Amino acid sequence: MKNINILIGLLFTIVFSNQLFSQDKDSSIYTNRFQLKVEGGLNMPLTNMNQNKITDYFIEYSSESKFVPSLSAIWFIRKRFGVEADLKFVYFNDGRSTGNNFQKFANKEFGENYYVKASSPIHNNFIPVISLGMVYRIETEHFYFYPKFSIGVTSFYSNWGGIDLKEKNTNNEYKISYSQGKIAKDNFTLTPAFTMGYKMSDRFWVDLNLKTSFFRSNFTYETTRTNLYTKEVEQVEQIPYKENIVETYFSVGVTYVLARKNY
Amino acid sequence: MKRKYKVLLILLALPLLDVFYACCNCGDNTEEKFYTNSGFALKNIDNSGEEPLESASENINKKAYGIRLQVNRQSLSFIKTETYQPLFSQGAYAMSCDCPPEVTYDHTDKVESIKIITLNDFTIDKPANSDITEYFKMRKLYKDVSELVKSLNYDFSYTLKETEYFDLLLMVSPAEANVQHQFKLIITFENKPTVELQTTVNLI
Repeated sequence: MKNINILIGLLFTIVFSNQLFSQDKDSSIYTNRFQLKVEGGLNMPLTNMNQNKITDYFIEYSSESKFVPSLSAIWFIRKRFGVEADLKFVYFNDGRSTGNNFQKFANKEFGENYYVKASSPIHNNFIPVISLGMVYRIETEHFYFYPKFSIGVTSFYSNWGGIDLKEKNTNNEYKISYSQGKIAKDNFTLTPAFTMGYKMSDRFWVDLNLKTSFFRSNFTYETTRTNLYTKEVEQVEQIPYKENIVETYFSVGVTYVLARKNY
Repeated sequence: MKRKYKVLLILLALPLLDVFYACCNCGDNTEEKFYTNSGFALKNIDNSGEEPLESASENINKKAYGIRLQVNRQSLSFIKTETYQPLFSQGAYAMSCDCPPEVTYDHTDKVESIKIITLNDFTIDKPANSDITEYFKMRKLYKDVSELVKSLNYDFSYTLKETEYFDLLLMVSPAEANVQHQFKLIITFENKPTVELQTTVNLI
């Protein structure tokens, strides 16, 4: 407990000593030139890519709310304008449960007449969302407001899937294939965002961020059923994934001002 | 003049190729062993479940019937040893490449064909003593029985598979149910007497 108090005291001194000293310096308004930021917050999908079809299990993209970190850097090229590079680490960690759910779904669908073996190379995966954009800044002595707009890429995998069916009480076997390959989907993403924060010192700032990203998924699964004995291939269904995907990311960030300049 | 250069180039290239070949990190000796298909057995299988099972039951579902051929193999004592010797250079063992297996097991008795004969009336088109090989397919990939010949003449690398099972599934059911059937499997060899195996089942 004593150690924690010392640590908090030390941190307080480091953060605010900088601010106290800066009272004597020039104003800190519009002086930061280059800043780095670490953020963490909740990524919430507002729309769902899933179609309530069996192929939903093959897509390595999470439609659940998750805590995700991100990193960004802003370079102010003018007094009011800057450019930003942002990397958000969205992740998909449902690989195992998704695989199990796929087997359960297949059992439910075909289990009455067939012995069912489902397979798909679905894994846990990172989905890095990289974006580049423009930043406009409005600052006061202690507060700042940054409306932003960036463009980027959201990448994820859409895997193939397969179900082996052995018909009960016969020698017949079938294969149902859901084809997409293991294809990386790169989706053009638009991200309007807003940051507002408090300058705790000349160098350390804390802020709240709200980012809304948008992309459109555009791919189609093809389902085929093959009779392994007769080799007859029958196209069963086409499942399009053409949805507008909107997500919000609400985060808290800590900014460190690396370089300063009087504009 | 040009021809001279070509000849010179070829003469220089030959030892160079040998050096590359010698650089393989392969063993000097390869043992070529031989095996024989020493025994065969035929059993009925019931494929009603997830996997086919050997069945001692007299009655088997005609849509899920098959036969299992068990093959026993025996290694022969005769061994042929080959030593690799580069033409111009000694092996440098500098890098690895595709080496031949250190031990191989080659077949001595060559299977020529496999036939399945029904000893009872099967369908209108296939009366007793008809060849119904085409009605049976190898399990999983549903390949023709003729593909089994390749498996029986297979040359193994490193280890010999001493016992192997081949499941042949009946893909065309007999016209009538609850009738006793007898099937004869005939394996003909190039250099050995024919092997005949028989099995009886009541297909319901």
